[in-house]
Amino acid sequence: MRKGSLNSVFGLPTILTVLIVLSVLGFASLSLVSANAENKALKHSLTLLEGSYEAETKALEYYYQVTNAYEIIYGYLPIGFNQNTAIQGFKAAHPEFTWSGNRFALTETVGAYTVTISAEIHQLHSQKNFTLISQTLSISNDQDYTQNGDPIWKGP
Amino acid sequence: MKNKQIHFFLLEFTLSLIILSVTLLVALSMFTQAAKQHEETQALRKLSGEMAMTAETLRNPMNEWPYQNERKTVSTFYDVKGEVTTGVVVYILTIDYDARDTLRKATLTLRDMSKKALLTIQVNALTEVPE
Repeated sequence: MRKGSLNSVFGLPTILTVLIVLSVLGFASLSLVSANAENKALKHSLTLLEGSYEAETKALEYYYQVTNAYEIIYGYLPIGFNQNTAIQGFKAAHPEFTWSGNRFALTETVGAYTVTISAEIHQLHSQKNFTLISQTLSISNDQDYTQNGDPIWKGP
Repeated sequence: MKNKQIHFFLLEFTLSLIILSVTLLVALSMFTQAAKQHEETQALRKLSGEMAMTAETLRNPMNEWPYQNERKTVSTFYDVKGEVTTGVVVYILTIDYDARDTLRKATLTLRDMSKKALLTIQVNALTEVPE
């Protein structure tokens, strides 16, 4: 090898090594960071999914518990009997419900989720004294969407 | 002088090769880890989707549950890709049905082999259909 040609390649392995090391480690890091971020995002969404089902489960369980207790307590009433007194007692026992006549709404909140169950109690006693009208799930993300549907930044 | 230059060049070349080898090994390990993580995410996404579909089916009061008036626990085993398997098990999906009451309850739990719960969905349904 001539002196001139040796001088020209001297340092080349180092430069190539630095370039290869930087690019390979860069791609590897990006790939790992991306995979971790994807996994983290999925786990976060699964936590939210668990929360929504938990809220609905709790609300329905409470509705069932309350209505079932009524059915047991007033089960002795004859079919077709005007159960106004019993209804008034039921209303007094559950001030946490939102009442409108014989219709009521109960809400259960778990984390950011709120479940509202609307139901009605029949004026005349029957085999089934309650009718489930609706069950809605809403999420509060502490954002204001009142203007054009776009979230408004409220400041720190 | 010339020999010294060749010696230094060979030394530089050898050191570069060593550093490259180490780097490639580290990078390979990182790529492998990323691929494993990605595969786990894909399997989890697939299984959680299936669980959510099952939960919605059970939640619908119009649908019949597979078990009536009894409590039953069913386990299904999945491989690393989230496919049902009878071989190497990586994920276990357990569905605990409790249909003994008017308010039917089910708990769907996805666990890995270390018994760590990855996803738990509780569902209940009244036999009553909302008006």
